[in-house]
Amino acid sequence: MFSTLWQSVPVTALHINDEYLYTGQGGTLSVYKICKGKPKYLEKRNVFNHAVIHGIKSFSLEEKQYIVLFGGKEMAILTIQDFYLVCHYKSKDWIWDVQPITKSTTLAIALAHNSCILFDWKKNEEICAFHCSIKCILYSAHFIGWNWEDLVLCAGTVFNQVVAWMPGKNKDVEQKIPLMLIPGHDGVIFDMHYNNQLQILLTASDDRSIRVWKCSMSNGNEQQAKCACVMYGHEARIWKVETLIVDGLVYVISISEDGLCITWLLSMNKEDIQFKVVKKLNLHSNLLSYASDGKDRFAVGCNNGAIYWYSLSEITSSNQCLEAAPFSKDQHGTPKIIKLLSLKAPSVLLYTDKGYVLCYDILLAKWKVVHHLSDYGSYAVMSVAPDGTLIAVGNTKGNVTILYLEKELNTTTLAKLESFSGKIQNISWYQKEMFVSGPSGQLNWYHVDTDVILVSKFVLPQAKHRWHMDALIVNSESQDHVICGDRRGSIHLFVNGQSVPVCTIHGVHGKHGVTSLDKHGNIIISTGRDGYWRQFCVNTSKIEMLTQHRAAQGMEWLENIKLENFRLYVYGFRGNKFVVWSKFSGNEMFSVTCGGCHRSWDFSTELSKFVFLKASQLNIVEVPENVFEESLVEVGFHNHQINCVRFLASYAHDDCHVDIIATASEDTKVIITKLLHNKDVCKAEVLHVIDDHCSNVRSIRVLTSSETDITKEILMVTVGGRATINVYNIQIQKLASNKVPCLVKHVATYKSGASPDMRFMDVAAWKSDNDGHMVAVACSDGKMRWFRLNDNTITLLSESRDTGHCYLVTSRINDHTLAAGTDGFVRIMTSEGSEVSRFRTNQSGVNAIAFCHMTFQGARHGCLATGGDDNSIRLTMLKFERGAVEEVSHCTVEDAHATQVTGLHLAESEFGAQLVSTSIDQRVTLWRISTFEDDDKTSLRCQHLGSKFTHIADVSCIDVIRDRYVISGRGFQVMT
Amino acid sequence: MGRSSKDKRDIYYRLAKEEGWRARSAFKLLHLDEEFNLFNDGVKRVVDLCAAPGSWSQVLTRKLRRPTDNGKSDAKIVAVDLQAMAPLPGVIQIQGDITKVSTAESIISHFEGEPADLVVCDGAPDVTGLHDIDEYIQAQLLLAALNITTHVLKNGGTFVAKIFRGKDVSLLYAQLRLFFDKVTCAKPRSSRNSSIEAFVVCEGYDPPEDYIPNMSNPLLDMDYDLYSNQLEGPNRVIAPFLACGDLSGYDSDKTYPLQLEGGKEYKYLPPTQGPINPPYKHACELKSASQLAKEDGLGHVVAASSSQISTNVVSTCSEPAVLSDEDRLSTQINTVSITPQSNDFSKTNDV
Ligand SMILES: C[S@@+](CC[C@H](N)C(=O)[O-])C[C@H]1O[C@@H](n2cnc3c(N)ncnc32)[C@H](O)[C@@H]1O
Repeated sequence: MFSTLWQSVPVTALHINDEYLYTGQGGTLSVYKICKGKPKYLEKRNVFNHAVIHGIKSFSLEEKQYIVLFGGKEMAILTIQDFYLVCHYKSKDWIWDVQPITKSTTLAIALAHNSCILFDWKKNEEICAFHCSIKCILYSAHFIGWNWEDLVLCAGTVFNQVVAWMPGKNKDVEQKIPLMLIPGHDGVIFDMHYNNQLQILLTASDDRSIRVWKCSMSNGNEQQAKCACVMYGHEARIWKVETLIVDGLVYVISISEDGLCITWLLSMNKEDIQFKVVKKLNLHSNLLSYASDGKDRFAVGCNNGAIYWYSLSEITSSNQCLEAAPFSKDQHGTPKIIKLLSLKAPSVLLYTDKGYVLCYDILLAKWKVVHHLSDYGSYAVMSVAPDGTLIAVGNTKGNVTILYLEKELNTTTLAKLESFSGKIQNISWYQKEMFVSGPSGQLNWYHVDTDVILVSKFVLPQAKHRWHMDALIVNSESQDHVICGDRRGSIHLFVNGQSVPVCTIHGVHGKHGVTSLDKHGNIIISTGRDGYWRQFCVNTSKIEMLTQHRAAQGMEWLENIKLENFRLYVYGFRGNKFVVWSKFSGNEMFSVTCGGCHRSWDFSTELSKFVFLKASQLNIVEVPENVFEESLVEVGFHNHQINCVRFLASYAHDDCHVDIIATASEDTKVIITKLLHNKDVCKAEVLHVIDDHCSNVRSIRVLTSSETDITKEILMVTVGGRATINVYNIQIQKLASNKVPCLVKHVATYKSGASPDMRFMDVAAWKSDNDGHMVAVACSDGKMRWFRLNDNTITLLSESRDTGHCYLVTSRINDHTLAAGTDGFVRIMTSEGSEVSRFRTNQSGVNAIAFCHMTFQGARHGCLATGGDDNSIRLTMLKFERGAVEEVSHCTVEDAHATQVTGLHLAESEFGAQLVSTSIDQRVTLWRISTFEDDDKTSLRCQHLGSKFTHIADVSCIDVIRDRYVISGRGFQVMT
Repeated sequence: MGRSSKDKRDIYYRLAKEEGWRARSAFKLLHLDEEFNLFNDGVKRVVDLCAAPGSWSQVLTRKLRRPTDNGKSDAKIVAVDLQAMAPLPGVIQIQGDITKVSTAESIISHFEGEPADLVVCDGAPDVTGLHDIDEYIQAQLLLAALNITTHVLKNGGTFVAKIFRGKDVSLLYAQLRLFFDKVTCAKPRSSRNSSIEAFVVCEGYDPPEDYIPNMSNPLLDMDYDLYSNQLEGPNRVIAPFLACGDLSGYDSDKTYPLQLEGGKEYKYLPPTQGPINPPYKHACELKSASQLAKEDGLGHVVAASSSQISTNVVSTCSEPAVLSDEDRLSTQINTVSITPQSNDFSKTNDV
C-alpha cells in the first residue's frame, strides 16, 4: 500500500566522506559521487521508517568503512560499500549526537536529558549509561574526542549555557560533575563545534551570535573557558557552525534560518580573536544542514529541499579588476558613455563630453580615437548594433550619426540623419533595425544596411517621460509588428505604416520604465525598473501579458535577461551593486559594487567583462569563466508550508511517466513542477514559479478545458490572503519534443478593496451556462461569495449571510455549492447565497471535504466525507431531489486519526467507495466505505484498511489522479 | 499594515487588550473552565507552570482569591517560568526551568504536607521550525510538568497541559492514561483551527499503585508497540476530543471588522505585555545601529570586533514584528528588524 515515487522534504543532514556526499531527508539517505568537483546523484536508501535523519558520520574499523545515521530516537549503522545494515538501535530518549570510539565496536550516544550511553553495535547492546549531575533538557549536544576515557560531551541547555562533562571518566561515579560551565549566550545553543588544533570551541545560538571560546578540552582538567570573540552577523537563529582551515587561514562557516551562509575569517591573537566577514551568501531558505570536506568544498542543505555546493576558494575570491591605461582627458574630454565591443579583440568604446569616440583595446592596452564628432557636446546617446560594426550617436539637435567600424578600428560615416528638431532621447537596435526616439514621443524606425532607409514613423502616447527604451520586431500574420517598451513603463504594439499604437499595456512596469525587450520563440520577455520581468505574446494585433515574475529580493531594478543552457539569468541592480541572478537556483552568480544603476555600464559574458564609469573613471572587471556554473545540486521548492496541491496532468510518454503538479504555499508562491519518472529514477523540474499573490496562497482549483493525446488545456484558480483570486490558463504539451511543455497565461485577478484583511480560504469553480465560469469562495469573514469570470474580469455576484464563523472549505456538488467552516456545520447553498440545507458533521473546524456518487438502497445518492479538527471523519449519504437535499444516513469514525484530519479523497468503487485520508499525525489512511443491513435498515460502514506513515510534516492536502496520490505539507510526496 | 492589522486578524488578541489580560492565552483557560469546571469550590491550591507573561495566573487570581470570612484569601498560587514575569498580588513566583531538578524541588517544597488541587501548564518551547524536534521538546515539557505533578497533586486532582497534536501524540496519551482516570484532548475556541496546539485535561489523579515519584529520573514518553499503540496499524491510544467554549462566542479564525457590531467604538490599545528580554534583543540593537558584521562588495572589510560591539550600542530595541500568516513573508523577513521566530510562529505558538 502506498509506495513513494518521489518526495521533497527538508534536508536535515549532510556529510562528506572522501569522494561522496551523503544527505539525509526524512528517513532517506541519498548518496552523490563527487566527479570533477561536482556531486552526481548515485542512489537512495530508506533507513528510518519513522525518524528523521539529523546526523550522519562515517568511521572505519579494521579496513572496513561504516556510516552511522541518527535522528529522533533511532540510530543505524551501514557499511559504506553496499549499505548493508549492521545495526539499528531504538533508544528511550532523543539522540543529539553519536560518536564512534576508535578501534572498537562501540559508540557513545548523547541523549536529550544530559545523559550518555556507551553502546556496542556489534553485539547490539548498551554497555553502560551515565548522567551529568546537572539534569535538564538539552537543545543540542556535541562530542569531542574519539576515546571513551577522555571523551567530552558538550551539552547546550535551555538556560543558555554549555555544560561540558566527561561520561567516561571515573567509572564508578554514576553522576558526573561538569568539567566546565560556559555561560554567556542570551539564548539557547543550537550547535557547537570544537577545533582541537586551535583549541577553540564555537557556539551558535538563538541570540543570533556565534561565540568563540578558548579552552582545552583534551586534558580533562577543570578550567574556565574564555570568550575570545562574539560574532554578530546573522539576523535569525543560527543552526550550524564549523571551522574550515585552508592554507593556514582559519575560516568559520555558519548558516541560519533566514538563508544566510556566512564565511568568517578569524585572526588569532594571543589574547583575543579578531574576525571579518569574507562572504555572505543569501540562499533565501531556512538553512538546516552543512558539511565540508575539510579542504575547500562544502554543502548546505535547506528546508525547501535544496542542496547547494560551494568551493570556499571560489566564493572568497574577489572580483579581478583591470587597470586601463590612461588617456589625455585634457585633450579628449571626460568619458560619458561606455560600451563593450567585440571586434578582433575585446575593446571598450567611450564617448566623451568633447565629442570624441575612443576605443580601448583591452589586450594591447592601447587607446585609439575612432571618430571626432566636433559638433556634438557633452550630451549624447550612443548605441552599438548587435554585430558590433555599427555605432549610432545622437545629440541634442536631433542629429544621429551612424559610424561603420572596420576591423582595424577605422571608421566611415555611414549616414548623418537629421531625425528630429530636438533632443535625441534614445537609440536602440534590433538586428539591423534602428529605433530612434526624439522629442514629443516621436519614434523613427530605420533599416540600416549599406544605406539607411526610414521605414516608419511612430508617436508614443502622451506621458511625462515620453521616449522608448527598447523595441523589437515580430512578424505575425505576414505583418510587421513593432513592440516597444517606454520610459513610462508601458508596452506598445505598432503596425508598420500606422503612427499610433494598435495596442498598449499602460504602465505595466511601473513608473520608472521598461529597460529591455527580448524574443524567445513566440514569447517576448520584458524587464523593468520595478524589479519584475514579464512574458507576453502577440495575437492578432493584440499584445497579451502571460505572466510576471520577480527576481531576487532587493533587486528592484532589472536591466536585461539572458538564456544560457535553457536557464534564465537576470541582470540588474541591487542597491549599489550590479548583479547577475539565476532564476534556476535563486543565486547571485556575479556581483560588482559599482555604485548603482544611474551610471553608464556594459556587461558581456562573451568578452568576460563588466565595465562601468564611476567618477568619470573607467573600470573594467573580469567576469569569471564559470559565471553560469550553478552551485545548486538539488532544486528547492517552497520555503514555508504548502497549503494545497493539485495534479494538473499525469500521462505516459515513451517509457516515462510525467506528472505535472501545482503547489500553493504560505510563502505566497504557486509552483508548477514536472516530475519525470522512468523505471527507477525520478527527476523534478520546476516549470513555473507564479508570484502574483501578495499574501499566502490557500487553495487551487483546476478545471480541464480540453484534453487530447498531445495537449491539455486547464483553467487554474488560486485564492489566498488579502482577499485575492488569480486565474490562469495553462497549456500542457505532452510530446517530449515540445520546447515549452507548459505555457502559463495569467487571465484575471480579483482583489477585494473593501476588506483587505479577509482571507480567501478555499475555492470551487465550474463552467457556467453562458460561456464564462463561476467561482465560489469560502471567506474568513464568515460568508461565502460567488463570482463570475468572463474573459479577463472577475465580478462579485452574490454573497451568503454571515454565519459568525470562518469558512474553511467549499466544493461544487450537483449544482449546489457546499461549504463548511470552523463551527463544524456543512451548508449547502445555491449560487445566490440561500441555504438549501444545513447539518453538523464535526465538533469544530471542517478541514477537508470529499464527495462521490454511490448506490445506496438501490438508488444513486451522493456520499459526502468531512474531516475535522476533532480527529473524526463523518460520512453522510445525501439525497438530491428537485433542488432539495436530504440526509439519508450517516456514520462517524471518531478517532479516525490521532490529530486533525486535513485531507480527504473519495472515489466510488466496486464495494461502495474508497476513501483516503491524511492528517497532521502524518498517517495516510485507506478506508473502505460500504453498506450493510441491520434490522431492516441500511447503514453505512467505514472500515480501516491500513495506514502509512509519511515524512511530510503538517500534512495539509491530498490530491488523487487515477492510481497516483500526492500529499502536501512541509514538502510534498507522490505515491502510488 | 498598521497596528490595526493584527487587531483585526486576531479577535482574542484585541479582546485581551481590552479586558487587561497579559496574553490572549487567558481565554483558553477560561474556555477550558467553561467546559470542565476547573475552578470549582474545592480548588484552592494551584501550580501554574510556564506562566509568563502571566495571563493564566491572572485568571487564577480572579477565580480563586475569593476572600474568606476574615477577609484573607486561602488560595495558594505558585507560578513558574524560565522568563521573568511582572509581579501579581497573591502569586508566588519562581524563575526556573521546569525540566531541571532544582526548580522542581523548589516547587515541591511549597506543597509539602498540603498537596495541590490543580496543576496547569501552558509551556511551549521556542519553535525551531524542525517539526520533530519541536514536538519532542514540547512533549518533554509536558512530561516534566507531569513529573512535578506526581509530587504535588492530591489524589483525584486535575492536571491541564498544552499539547502539540503531532505525529507521536498518542505516545503521550498512553503515558497520561497511566496516571489519570480520564484524559481528554480539549481545544478551546480561542485557539486557532490551524494551530496544532490543544490541551490535555487529565481528571482524577490516580497513579499506579507501585509508583513512587522520583525527581531524578525524568519520565520519558513511551514507545509504539505491536498491540495497543501501533505506529501504522488500526490500534492507537487516542484521547477523546472535545471542542470547548461557546459556539456563539468569537471565532479565532474569523476576520472581524474593527468596529464590532453592538460593541464600543474601536480604539487602538497597545499590547498589555510585550516579550520580556527576548534572546535576540542585542542583535536587534546592533541591527538598528547598522552594526551587524557586513561583507564589502569588492574586497574584504574588517567587521567590528567583540569589544567594539559592546560599547557602541546606541539605539534601543524596538519590539520585533511577529510574523503573521497575513503578510508577504518573503518581504517581511527582509524588513523586520530581526527575524524573531521561525516562520511557524503563528502555527504553533499562538499566545
Ligand atoms: C505560551 S507561554 C505561556 C503563557 C502563559 N500561560 C500566559 O497565559 O501568560 C509559554 C511559556 O513557556 C515558558 N517555558 C518554555 N520552556 C520552559 C521551561 N523549560 N521551563 C519553564 N518555562 C518554560 C516560556 O518561557 C513561555 O513564557
